[in-house]
Amino acid sequence: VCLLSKEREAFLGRSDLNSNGSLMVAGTEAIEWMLRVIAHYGFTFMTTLLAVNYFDRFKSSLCLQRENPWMSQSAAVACLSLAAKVEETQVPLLLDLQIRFYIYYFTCNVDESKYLFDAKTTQRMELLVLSTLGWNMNPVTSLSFIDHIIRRLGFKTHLRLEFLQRC
Amino acid sequence: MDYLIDTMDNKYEQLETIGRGNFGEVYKCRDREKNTFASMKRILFRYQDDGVPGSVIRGVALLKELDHPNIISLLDVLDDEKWVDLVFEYLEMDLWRFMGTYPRIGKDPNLTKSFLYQILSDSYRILHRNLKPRNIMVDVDKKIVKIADYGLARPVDAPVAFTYQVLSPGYKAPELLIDAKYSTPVDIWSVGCIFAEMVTHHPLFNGQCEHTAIMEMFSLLGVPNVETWPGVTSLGINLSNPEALVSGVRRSLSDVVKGLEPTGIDLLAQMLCLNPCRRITARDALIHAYFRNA
Repeated sequence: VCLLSKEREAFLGRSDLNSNGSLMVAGTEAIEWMLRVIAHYGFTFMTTLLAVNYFDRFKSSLCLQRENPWMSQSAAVACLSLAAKVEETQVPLLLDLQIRFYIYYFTCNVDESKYLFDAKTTQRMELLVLSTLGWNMNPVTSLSFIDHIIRRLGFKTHLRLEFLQRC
Repeated sequence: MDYLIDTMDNKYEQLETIGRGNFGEVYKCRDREKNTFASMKRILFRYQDDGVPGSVIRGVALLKELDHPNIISLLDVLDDEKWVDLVFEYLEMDLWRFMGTYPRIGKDPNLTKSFLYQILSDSYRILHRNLKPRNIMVDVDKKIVKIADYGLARPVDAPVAFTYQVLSPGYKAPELLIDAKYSTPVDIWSVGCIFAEMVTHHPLFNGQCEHTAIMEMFSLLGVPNVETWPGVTSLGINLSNPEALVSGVRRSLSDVVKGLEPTGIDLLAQMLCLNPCRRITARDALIHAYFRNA
């Protein structure tokens, strides 16, 4: 019961996001970028899940200046950086993430999207994301349910870990 | 980015500094609206290139999830470009000062029982590693204790001059002292030490270094052997000459912790079991006979 109510909190305002087309497009682009960087660094699935979760929650709970790709991309950098810090043991510097970001857009020839944020700006964005999400950085996700169910099934710890790794 | 300009100066009035550590500073402050006190821990960001430190993100997220009457609660998080301020509920007294200030009330057996119960009821949720009277806050009026030992919630990192106190092994479980693998039983050990101290108002173990601390433990609780602690011989203590590992006159727990009822001594002995695998768990301790007539 506790998990369910927490999950609802974590996904509040989804419908809001869907109703705005341009926001959706900007979001998709940003998430695509996040996935590429994640693949490049070999981050875990949990990091991906968190980064996308932060991004979704951030976009839906904040009245972003609509159609502001700068904001959207800056938020994507911040969300990914936050997720990596929560989940990964080795986290690249903010600027390294940035360079990936830059190269991605450069190779895609998307002229208008070439933003490079300095560490200070990204840190500000991180703080904005953190406070917008109320610092709740361990949301209940589908994985939490799977984990809970496996625990209930009474698997041994190493089996559980193995199972989660395959998810 | 106007929305990032902090508003803390309006909401909280900063009063005196109550602690200082390598993370930043702790202030006492007043909530202007509610007219209540709070303690504010300011954590500075050292390395600007990394953005908000991962330890801060994880620490605050963890504190946000904890909601227990016996845990100091995080009331507010305020951010700035160069730091975050964590606002915690404010309690003036820690258990160490409480015992010094109220020698009589502090020794009331029912109060000891109540405090122990409260500490145990929270402690199995998280691995603390460093429980001690200074990290347990006391609400004197309500007779409530609250653990303030959750990484970032630790009220005061001891200043450099007192490092010996931080490193003081007085509340550390034997497996921590000998660098063996450890888990939540280390907290039960610490709570056991605190339990004894609440009864006598004297630390159970004073060891200034790890070696003397181990000797004190063995003198009181006996030298472990392969039967009482399977695998102990591989942990790096030389047990071939047990006599060398004890000092002074052998005394029993009931001699040392005078005035504690027999069920309490039994519980204490189970909490101070040298072998972490056989040490009582918090869950079992809470249903021990000692608490039955509370």
